[in-house]
Amino acid sequence: MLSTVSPTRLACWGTGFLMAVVLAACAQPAVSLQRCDRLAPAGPVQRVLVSFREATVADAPAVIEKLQTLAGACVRPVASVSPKLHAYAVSTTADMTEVRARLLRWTAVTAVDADMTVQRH
Amino acid sequence: MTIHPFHRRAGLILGSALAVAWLAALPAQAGDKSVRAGAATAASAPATVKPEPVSRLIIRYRDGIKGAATGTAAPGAERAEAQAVVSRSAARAGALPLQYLKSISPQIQVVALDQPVSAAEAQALMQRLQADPAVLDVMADQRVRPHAVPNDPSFTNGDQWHLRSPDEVRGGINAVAAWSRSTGAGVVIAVLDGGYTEHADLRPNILPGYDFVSGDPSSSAQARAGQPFWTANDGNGRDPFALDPGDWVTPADVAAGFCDRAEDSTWHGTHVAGLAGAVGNNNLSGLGVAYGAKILPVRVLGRCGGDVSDILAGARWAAGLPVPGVPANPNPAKIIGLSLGFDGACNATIQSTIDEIRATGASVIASSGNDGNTVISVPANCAGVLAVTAHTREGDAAEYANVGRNVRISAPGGGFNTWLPERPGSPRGMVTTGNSGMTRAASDITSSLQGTSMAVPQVAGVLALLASARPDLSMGRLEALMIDNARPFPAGTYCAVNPDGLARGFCGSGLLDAKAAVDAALGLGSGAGQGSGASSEGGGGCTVAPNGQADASLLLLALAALGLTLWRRRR
Repeated sequence: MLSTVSPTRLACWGTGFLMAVVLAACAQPAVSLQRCDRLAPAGPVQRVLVSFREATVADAPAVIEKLQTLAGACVRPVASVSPKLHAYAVSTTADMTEVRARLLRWTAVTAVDADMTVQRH
Repeated sequence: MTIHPFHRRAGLILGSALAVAWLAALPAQAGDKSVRAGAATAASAPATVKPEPVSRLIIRYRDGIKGAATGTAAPGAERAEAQAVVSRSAARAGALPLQYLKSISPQIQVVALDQPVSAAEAQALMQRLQADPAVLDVMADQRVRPHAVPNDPSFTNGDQWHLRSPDEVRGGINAVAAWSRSTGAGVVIAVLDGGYTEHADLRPNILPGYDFVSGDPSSSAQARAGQPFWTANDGNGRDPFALDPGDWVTPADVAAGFCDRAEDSTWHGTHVAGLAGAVGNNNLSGLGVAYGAKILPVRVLGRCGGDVSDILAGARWAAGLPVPGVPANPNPAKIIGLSLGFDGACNATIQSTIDEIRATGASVIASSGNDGNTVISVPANCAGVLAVTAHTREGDAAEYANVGRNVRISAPGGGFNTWLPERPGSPRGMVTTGNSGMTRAASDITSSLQGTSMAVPQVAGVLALLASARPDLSMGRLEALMIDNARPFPAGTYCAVNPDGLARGFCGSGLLDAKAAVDAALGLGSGAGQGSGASSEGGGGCTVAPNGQADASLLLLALAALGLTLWRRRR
C-alpha cells in the first residue's frame, strides 16, 4: 500500500499541513472570538475610544483578552487613530459607564470615551 | 461712442493726479531717494504673482521743465528740453537711450526704454539713474488693471453672492479684491467630509486623499444584517480612495435601525470642497475662495454620519501625523476643515489629538452647529479649534446657526436671517459644485446648500489666501490677522443687537473679509510674527500691489490731488 503514495502526494500533504499551521497562527484573534461566544449574551454594540499610556497594537491578542476580561463583554478592534489611541466595539447589555470604568482599571489605559457619532453640519 | 470733453479732461487730470499721488507718497525729502519697481521690490509680494517686464519709467527730477504740466507731451521747445534732460540722465547712468514720452508735472517725466527689460534689470537701471543728482525718484510705469473678475458663470450671475464685496452684498466676504494678490497657490486645504465626486470644476484641484470610514463592527446591526460596510457604502473599510459613493439612506435602512431618517445622497463633501477650492476662471460652474489652492479630500463621513475615531484619525493623517495601518500623507495640509460635529463636551482624548495637530503648525476649523442655539458642537468647542458660525447675505446671523463663547468669526452659510427682513428674490443658498445623483453619483451640477458647514470652507479658503501670500507667518498669526480684520456685524443684526444678552464676542469678531485680511497680512513687516504690525513698506502709507495696482490709500491720495488741481484751475 505504501508504494501507492507518491512523493508528489506526500509533498501536497506536507504543504497542506504547513498551510494549516500558518492559517492557525494567523487566526489568533479567533481565540478572542471564541471567548466572545463564551461572553454572550451579546448586547447592543457600543464603540469606545481607548487611550493607552504607550503605543499599543490594537488587535494584539493579549490586549483584546485583557480588555474583554475587564469589560466582561466581547471587545473587538474597529479602527486606530494613533499608535496610542484605538477604537473598539463592545457588545454588552451592561451599563457603558460601568464598562468604561472597568476598562480604566487597567493601568495601561489612560482614558475611555464613547466613540460618538458625528453628523455633517 | 463719444467722450464728453469734460470727462476726457477729468480723465487726464485724474491720470496725472494718480501718478502725482503715487510719486508723492514716495519719501519726499531731497536726500531720501527711493526706487520702486512694483513686484521687484515689494517685500509683501506674494509668490503667486510674477513680475511683469518693464518698458517705461517715471522719473521725478529735482527741477521742473517749464510748460511741461499738461498731462501730455510738452509742445515744441519744452519737448526738446525734456528730451535733453532725459538723455543727460541716461548718459550719466550709462543706460540705453531713453525716449521722452510725456510729462505728468514739470518735475515728473515718463520715458520709454528701447525694449522691455525684466524687473531685475529695471531695478538695476533705476538704481543707476538714481545716482544722478538731478533725479529724486524713479519708478517703473506699471500697467494698472482693474481687479480680476472671474468668468465662472455662477459667480458672474450673482449666485455666488458670498464672494462679493460688502458694497454689493453686505454679507459677502470681499474675495474679488483679495484675488489680485493671492489665490491660495501652494497651500493644501484638507476637507474632512464625505469624500468628493469627480466634478469637472473640482478635479484639477484635488490631491490624492484617503477614505477613513471604517467598517461597521461585526456585532453591529448593519453587520448582523449582512452589510458590514453599510456606513462606508463602498464595500470596504479604510482605503486610499476618497471618492464619495453616496450617503443615501432608505426607509428600509431606518426600519432596520441603521439610521434615524431616510434621505437622498447629499454630496456634502463635494459641496464643501467646491466652496473652498473649486477651479476659478474656467468659465464653468463657480469658483472657490482659494481657487489656486489644492484640496486634500479626507473621507470621514458615510451614511448617517461618521465616528469620532475615524475623524480624529483622518485629521491626524491630514496634518501629516502617523495613523497605524495607513500610509503617510505625502501632502500634509496647513488648513483642516471640519464641517461636522456632535453635541457634548470636548473630552481630553479629542483635545489631545487637536493639540497634536496644532503642534504640526496646521489650523483646525470647525462649524458651530445648526441647531439655532447657543451651544457649540464638538470639535468646534475644543481649545485651539477655530469655531465658525454662519451669516446670511444681509450679514445677519443665519437662523439655524449656533453662536456662543467659543465662536471666533462668522462666514456666509446662507439661509434666512435671525433678525433682519430678507431682501426678496435674492439667492440665499451657498452655490458651488454638486451632483445630480439621488443615490450613486450621476452628473455634475451646481447645487445650493446652507449651513454652518458652508461657512467653514470659506474661512479655510481665506486662510489659504493668507498662507500663500505670507508663507513666512505661522498659521496662528494668520488666524489672528483674519479674525482681527473681520468687519463689524451690520447694525440691526442679531449679533450686533445681542438680544439674548450673551457675552461679548458670542458671534466671533465679525464678518469674514478676505481683502481686509490679505491687505493686513501684506502690510506686515518681518516683525509681524511678533505682533509689531510695522509696515515693511517703510511707513510710506502707499502700497503698490505686485501687479502694479494701486491700493485704496493711493486712490485717496489721487482724489485729493485731483481736487486740488480742479480747485487751482478754477482760480
